[in-house]
Amino acid sequence: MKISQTNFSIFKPMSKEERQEVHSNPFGINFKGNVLTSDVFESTKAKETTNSTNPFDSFTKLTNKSKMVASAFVGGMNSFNEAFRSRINSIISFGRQIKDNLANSWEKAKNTEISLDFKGLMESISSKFDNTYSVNNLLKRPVDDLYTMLAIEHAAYKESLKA
Amino acid sequence: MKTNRIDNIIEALGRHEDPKSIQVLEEIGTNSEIDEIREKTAQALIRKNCPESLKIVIASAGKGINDLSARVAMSSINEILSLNDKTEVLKVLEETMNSAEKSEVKDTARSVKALITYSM
Repeated sequence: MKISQTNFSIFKPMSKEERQEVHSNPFGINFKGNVLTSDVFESTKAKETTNSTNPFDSFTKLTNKSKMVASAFVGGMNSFNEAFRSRINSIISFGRQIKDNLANSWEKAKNTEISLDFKGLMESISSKFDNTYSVNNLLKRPVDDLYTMLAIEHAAYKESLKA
Repeated sequence: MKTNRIDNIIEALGRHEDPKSIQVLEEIGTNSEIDEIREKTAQALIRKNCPESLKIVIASAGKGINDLSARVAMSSINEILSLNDKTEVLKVLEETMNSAEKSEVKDTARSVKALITYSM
C-alpha cells in the first residue's frame, strides 16, 4: 500500500468486515491500538528475494517502517472515521426523527377540527346536577309535593334510626 | 338513610314563596321527634323572617327558642341574632312578652329581646 493510496482510503472508510477481507495480516497485529491495514510481512518476503546485495536495502527498510507508520495512521483515521460517522449517523437519525415527529404533528394538527360541543357540554353538566332532591329543583315543585316528600323521607329516617 | 334529602326539602320549603310552606314546616318539622330535624325546621322558619313563621318559633311552647332541647333552642336564638333585618323579630318578641299565656314563653322572649338589644 502506498501513501497516495492511503490518502485515498481516508475518505473511503470501509466496514470492519471489508477491512478484515482486504488485510492480509492474519494475526491482527496492533500498532498503538490500531489494526495494521498494510501487509507488513510482504516486505520481509521481498527482502529474502532481493538478498543483502540489494543496494536499495536501506531504502526498503525505511519504506517498511513508513508503511507501518502509514498503516497505523490510516487505521487510526479509519477508526476515527467510523466513530465520527456513527456519531453523525446518530445525529442525522435524531434529526430525522424530530423532522418526522414535527411533520406528523403538523399533519395531525392540520387534520384536527377544533370545535366545542356546547350541547353535549350542557347535557353533561345538567346530568351531573339532575338531582330530584336538589334545592333548586325542589323549589320548582308545589308545596303539596314537598309535604308528601318530607313526610316520606321523615318516616324513612325515623325507621332507619330505630333499626 | 341520608338526611341530605330532608335538609334540602326543609331548605326548599323555607325559601318557598307559597305561605302553605310554613304550615308544612310546622306540621312535620317542628313536631318531629328528631332534634336535628326540629333544629333545621326552626332555622328555616326564622330565615323566612315573616310574622307567621316567627310566631311559631317564638310564641309556641316547646318550639324554636322554647324547645326542650338546648341545642335546638340555642341554634334558634343564634339564627335570630344573625338576621340582618330584626324588625319583625322584635315585633313578635314584644307581642309574645305581652300576650303569651305561659310565663316560660314570656321569659324566653324577654331574654332573647335583651340579647338582641345588647348585640345591636
